[in-house]
Amino acid sequence: MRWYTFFRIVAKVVAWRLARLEVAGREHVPREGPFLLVVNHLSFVDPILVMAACPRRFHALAKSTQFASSRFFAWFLPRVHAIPARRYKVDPQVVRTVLRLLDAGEGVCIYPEGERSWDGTPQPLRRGSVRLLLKAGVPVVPCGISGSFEAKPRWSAVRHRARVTVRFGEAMEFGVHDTRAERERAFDGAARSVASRLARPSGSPDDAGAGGAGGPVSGP
Amino acid sequence: MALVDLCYRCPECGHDPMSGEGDAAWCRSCGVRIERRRGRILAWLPDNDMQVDVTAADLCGRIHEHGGPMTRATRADGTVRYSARAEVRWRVSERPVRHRGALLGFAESMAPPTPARVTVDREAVAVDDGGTVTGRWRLLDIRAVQAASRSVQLSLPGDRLVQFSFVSDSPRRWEILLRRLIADAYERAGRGGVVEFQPRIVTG
Repeated sequence: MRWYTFFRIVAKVVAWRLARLEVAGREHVPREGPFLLVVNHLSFVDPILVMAACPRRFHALAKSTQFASSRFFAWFLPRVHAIPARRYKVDPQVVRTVLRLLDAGEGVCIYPEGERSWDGTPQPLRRGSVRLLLKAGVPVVPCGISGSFEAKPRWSAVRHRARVTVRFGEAMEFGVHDTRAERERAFDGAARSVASRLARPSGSPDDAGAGGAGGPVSGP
Repeated sequence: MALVDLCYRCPECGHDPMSGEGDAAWCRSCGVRIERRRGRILAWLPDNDMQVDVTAADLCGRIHEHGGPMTRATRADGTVRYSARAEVRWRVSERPVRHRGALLGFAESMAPPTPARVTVDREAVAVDDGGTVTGRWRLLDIRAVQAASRSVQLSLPGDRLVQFSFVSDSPRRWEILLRRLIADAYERAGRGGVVEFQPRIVTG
């Protein structure tokens, strides 16, 4: 058994222990071919919940600091297909790795807000995340998580069992934007679309959805 | 981490700092007590003996209305200066992360922590441990600011990375304070408004 499969089973058990997990919209995750999964980030348990909820295997960006935090994480994270992203400088290697995996037909999960929310509200999207999905040109599946902040906010060491919903939305297509000029032209529209679909993954006004992202791009 | 990291000053009266432990924080000035219980955040207001549900966003909004971290950092003569004790770590190297022969990316290795005092004013951030890690960097030279779990990291010229883990102060306070002072420094220098602080400072 591959480590990923094993840890996905573990993630399902842990997710069940952590939360009353509800999953909606699994059918929106492509059955084959490359895709980018964009997820809002409220809690450190989010990667576990998404791993448990997503019907397909995927790779996920994780902060590089985590890989250096302990020998266990240095061993564990590559085995759950985590990709180290240096957040303290522009990291061309992470773009190369993501594009290579997408070319191979794999799925990649990114948290376009870049870090966990302090207060449970949506955060602005990182500009680099939006540029990445414009460069990749693969289906972008929005995934909104709600309730994980109540289960374990960033500033607390204590977990509480809470009702958590993971909602996958219909895939968005932005096309391939190979040049920087093309990406800049498409940037604002793509940022708005992703932010709004993270808030309402299904696109329906009735969608209770997740926190979503607050604005197209970062601000001070 | 603790609730007092989020709620570093009193959302009710603005007193700074809040006291606290774990999922509870209380104000020694007005007596308000805030506690996280079973996924809810409750506030006890001593004046009218009420218990109310609040959200983390409410608390942050109230703290912002009181001036956030700037009030305590601003002195009577209008100058800004704030300091706290921290464990300071420098990145010493980056190691490649590979899996099944493929290069996934790079992860930083940090030097062991050194206790020091970190000070910020309108011009610069300074670190002083009386020895090896002493340094001072202009706010305009800082390349990126990011919060990483319990720490704040600064990218500095020369591809250097320094990490501050505050011993008894809120990383949230420092993140907001540093970003605010850097944004002000950029505006004063005519470099425009900062629109993003990581992975590099971008002006718009």
